[in-house]
Amino acid sequence: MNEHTGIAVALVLAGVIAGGMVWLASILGKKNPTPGKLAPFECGNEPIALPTGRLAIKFYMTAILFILFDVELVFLYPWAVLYRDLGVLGLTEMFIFLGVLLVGFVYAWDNGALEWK
Amino acid sequence: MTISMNTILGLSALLFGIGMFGFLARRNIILMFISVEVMLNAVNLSLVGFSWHMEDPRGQVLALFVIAVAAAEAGIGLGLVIALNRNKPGAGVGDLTELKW
Amino acid sequence: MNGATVADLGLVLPELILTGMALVLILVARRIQSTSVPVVATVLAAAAAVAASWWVLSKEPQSAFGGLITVDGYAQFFKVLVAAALALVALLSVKGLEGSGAPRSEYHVLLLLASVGMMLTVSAVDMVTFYLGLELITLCSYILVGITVDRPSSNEAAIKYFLLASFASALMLFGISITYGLTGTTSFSGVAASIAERGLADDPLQLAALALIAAGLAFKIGAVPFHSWVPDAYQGASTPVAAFLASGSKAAGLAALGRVVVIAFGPDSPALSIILVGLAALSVAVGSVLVLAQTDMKRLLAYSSIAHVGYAVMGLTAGTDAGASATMTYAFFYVFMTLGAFGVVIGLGARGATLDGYQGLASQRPGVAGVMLLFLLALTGIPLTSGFVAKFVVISSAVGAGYVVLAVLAVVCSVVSAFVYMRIAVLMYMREPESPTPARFPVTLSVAIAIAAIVTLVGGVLPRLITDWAVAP
Repeated sequence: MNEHTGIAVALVLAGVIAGGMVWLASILGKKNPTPGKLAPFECGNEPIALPTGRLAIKFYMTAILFILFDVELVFLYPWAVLYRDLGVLGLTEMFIFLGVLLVGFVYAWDNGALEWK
Repeated sequence: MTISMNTILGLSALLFGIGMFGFLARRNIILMFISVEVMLNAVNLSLVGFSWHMEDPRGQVLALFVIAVAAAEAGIGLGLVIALNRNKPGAGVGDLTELKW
Repeated sequence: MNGATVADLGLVLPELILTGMALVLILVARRIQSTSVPVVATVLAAAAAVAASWWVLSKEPQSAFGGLITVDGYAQFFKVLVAAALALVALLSVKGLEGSGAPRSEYHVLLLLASVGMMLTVSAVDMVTFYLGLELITLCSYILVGITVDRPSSNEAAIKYFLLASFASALMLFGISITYGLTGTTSFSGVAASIAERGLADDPLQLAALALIAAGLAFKIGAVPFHSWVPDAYQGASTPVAAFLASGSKAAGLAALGRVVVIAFGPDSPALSIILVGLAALSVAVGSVLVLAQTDMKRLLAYSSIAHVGYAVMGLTAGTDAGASATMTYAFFYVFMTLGAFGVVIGLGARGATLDGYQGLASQRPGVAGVMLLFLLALTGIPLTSGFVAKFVVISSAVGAGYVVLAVLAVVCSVVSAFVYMRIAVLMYMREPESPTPARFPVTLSVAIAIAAIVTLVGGVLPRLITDWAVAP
């Protein structure tokens, strides 16, 4: 077993799952083509309109929350690699860290930042 | 293949310079902010490079912290821009003229 | 290097207390918004943090978390100072935030977390904790400056501060990274050892790194030529936030600069001395001259803070422990005198925001005018106030290091800046009032101002109480 076998297996699995989903969607999905759907959009041909206008603030709110909670989890990777060496102390510290993140999440929820309005 | 310290430093200094130029040349708040992110990523590149070169994990640890801090900074920056946008729709750096000595 | 153990957590008890209180407050934020719970909780947490830092140091100085932080007299001194500034600012905020629309619980949470950052910074002996502490302070400060979201000037100040500060952080970080690459370590003492061992003191790359780190730190404390954000941020922020930036943030930044100078780069670096002398001279001169042109009270105090940072940095130019002690004394006294002055500004409300508002204050409210005069005398550096002691120790430290010209410049500049402080005194005592008598100060505000006044007076009469305690690392 080469050490890179795992990566290869993961790649193959990811490809199979992604391809399978596309294939399943194409055979199970309902097909109802209309001229509007078939028109090339933003493919270098007949653009309908330039993408002007602003995005609603709610997208930014969600994006901000996503960035924070997504990136803070970067600390889980080194912890996971050294999980056995760090032992109970590492586990406790990680739970404290996640607890602090959770407090932030509860605060965001409590103040309605998660509501899609 | 070994990559010398100087190569690592040169590449990150180049990227850092690009970010710095962007910050000083742009007049759009979001673009200035993106330039700062480029600078931070240049620093991360050098930290990880040095860390790998010297086989010392501290640089990587610091890089992780930088990533996390940069994310928090991004959140705050976007929040401030949203607040500004509610008061003055479409404002750029040129419109920030209320406070002057 | 030892790994961390659970016992290390006991050494950061003051930080843990403040963090815990911040977490509790944020969980119940929405339910206590218009009550006095956040203020009471913040003051209690600050008091507990002071007690905890005394208790922690009842043992020997020691390092924790594998050498990332240290708990010594230097850290304890600044932790007590930070906690005191936090408590006083919380008391000032009761009146200072009235009608500003700022969410009270979030505001106090940010004050608490910024104080945690300051405590982390002052005990940092490693680039990692040093960077994290400074960033925690600035991240909280951005929001504090912009917390009154409905006011365009607050937005503007926050965005300017944010853009410039993140740029400065990136510069400092690049300096840290180069230092790491050259020395192979991030701990301050390791850096110093490696510089000595590998003869890096004159290495151009190392000098560049040093300049980048110094620039980043100079930005954080608002020293010239990295001061342009200070007046804007102070004027745009609500007054208690400006007071917090002027007191706690400056003290923590100076503490960090002190450690970097004395431990990491200091001992044999002529380049660092030149940088520090330049920063001190420019800050003192520019701050003292530009303060003369101000008519807005917050901008005036902002330029005054720039000049005072210059004086404080003068102590570090010597690069010795005695010099660092002088800077500690300066930071301590400055925090209280500036908080007192900001307190009076807050108490006078809209009238206190401009210089003209002080006309005839002495005939209307003699007590208020009296304490304001005390703080103004201290900011000028008149004997029998703490300001004189503070200036005396830093100037003698600069003379001791051989920077006589710098010392002369400092004395001249303090005379120049005296004009503006005395102008306020003249307005208060020698003019007829033009506006109606201001309302009585609320108790919380009076208590905060009284504490600041007592420290300023006692520090001037019995300076040994503080100077004996201010012992460098």
